[in-house]
Amino acid sequence: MNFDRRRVNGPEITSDVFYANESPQFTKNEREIRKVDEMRPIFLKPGLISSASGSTYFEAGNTKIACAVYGPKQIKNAAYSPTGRLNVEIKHSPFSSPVRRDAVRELDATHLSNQVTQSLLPSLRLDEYEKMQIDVFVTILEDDSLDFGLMGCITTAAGCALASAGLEMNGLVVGVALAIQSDRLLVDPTPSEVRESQGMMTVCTLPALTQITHIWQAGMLDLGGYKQALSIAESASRNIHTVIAKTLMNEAAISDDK
Amino acid sequence: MAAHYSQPETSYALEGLINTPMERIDGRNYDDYRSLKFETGNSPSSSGSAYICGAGCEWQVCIKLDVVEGFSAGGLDAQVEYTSAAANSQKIPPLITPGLLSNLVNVTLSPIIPPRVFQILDAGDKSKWFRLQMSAALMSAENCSSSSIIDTLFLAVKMALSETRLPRTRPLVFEAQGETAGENINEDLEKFGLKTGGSGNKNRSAADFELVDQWHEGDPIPGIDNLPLSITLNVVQSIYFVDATSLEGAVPGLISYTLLFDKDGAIRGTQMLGSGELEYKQLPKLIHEASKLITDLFTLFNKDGGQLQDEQAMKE
Repeated sequence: MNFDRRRVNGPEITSDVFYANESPQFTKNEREIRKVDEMRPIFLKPGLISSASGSTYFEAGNTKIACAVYGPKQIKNAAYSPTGRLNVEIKHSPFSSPVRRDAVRELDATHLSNQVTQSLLPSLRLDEYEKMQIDVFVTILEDDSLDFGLMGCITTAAGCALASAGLEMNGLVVGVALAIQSDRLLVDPTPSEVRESQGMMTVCTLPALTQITHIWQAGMLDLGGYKQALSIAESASRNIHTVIAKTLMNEAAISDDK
Repeated sequence: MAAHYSQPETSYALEGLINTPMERIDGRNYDDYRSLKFETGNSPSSSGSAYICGAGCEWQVCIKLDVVEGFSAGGLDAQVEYTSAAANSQKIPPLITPGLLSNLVNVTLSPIIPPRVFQILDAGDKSKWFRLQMSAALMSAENCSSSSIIDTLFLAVKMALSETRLPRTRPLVFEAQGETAGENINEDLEKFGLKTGGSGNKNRSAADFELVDQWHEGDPIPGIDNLPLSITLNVVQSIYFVDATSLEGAVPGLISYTLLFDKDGAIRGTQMLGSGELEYKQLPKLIHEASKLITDLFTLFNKDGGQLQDEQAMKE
């Protein structure tokens, strides 16, 4: 039989290649399904990393975050400080965004670390941890929220991880992002909604105490819109708080049973 | 690294602040700023510059304008830095890092001055843009808090940008003469080995640009009037005050609530820094108070801005 042995010969019967639809329809008109003040479903799993004092795996839409808390541990070779120190390190994985992130320049999100530190700081009773340090390490596996939304997600994940570590806290801290569009305010926006918005706002709160730990906002808002955004964020954060508190209670009950 | 204060020192400062009437250590009222000294155009080699000294810190902001080529290469890029004198003074509060301030300036300015205002020539990948590189350096820090650092930074940024002028340009079109002339302009350009204009609407057939040679220094950056100024209320318990000193900023439970207002009273940005927290019910009052105080700051700025315009008119 004569045939070219240098080529890979296909089977005698072939059919056309089937390509999956790369842009599912539901992402385009997601807000038609989801209400403007409705968040994407959150998946939260505390205690994922066994070697850490506390940890959480967080998912909302395609945003995927792993968060681990280590400490409190003694700061050696440092001057005495009456309060503890909170250290937050946030890193993007190289595959976290559609365009690969540069390993040297882009993986450390320093401004996000500062913003998240600010949102967590009032929730912790650092006066109980003098001369100690608490480390929070956050890895962003996939980013489907962009900066402001991501900060809200990280705050929620880190707040849950701190609580699962059993640290002294004033309350559970929760972050909610809002996109400001000309005629509406969208809770938990997707990247496409962020790009179409005229401003963004992230509100981090202690819902149990009705206190605000951080507001980060950019873009234009009048005074009325600003107050409206705060009240929407307040009710959204109360809902998240209920979910997280229930998850932590379930997790504690399971570990007690063991 | 922040200045360290002992517990008796911070308690003493807090006692004065929560007294009725408020007794601040330096005798100021709750809405009094420390004196500020401004200077614009102090860096001759830059396209726009401002220097501000007061409220415990010293900022130098310089803007350098250059021309870049690319699909979307232009725009405004702000970089905030601390000089080693400031960084090693151990007087800068924690959390307020150059990275945070750079991001705060960039996210505040980019919606107000979008990159498209800097386009000179629309020609696809060969488009020409102005690029504004803004460097803000904290030269020294002494007796300052996060509130005074942010408020003075935005004053200096607005001053430097207000002084910057974009040179006037006109598009250049190359055209072959006589027998060498083609059917259309693009053919002419190709004969000369020149790149043709892009498919955009603006200056469709232009291949290059030149500066308009005249007495005029250029035009202000579009949208510059909408640049915000910052007002930071330092809140502890139920009281608030502006321009905290280093000791006042170290009071336990204090939180700085920064609001960026434009001249029309719209809020262009918010930032909070500190270990305290705010109650929801406190916010309406704080926002109302901040919107009142910002008008004083704009009055001060416009006074200085008015002088700048007078100088400009004299030059012309």
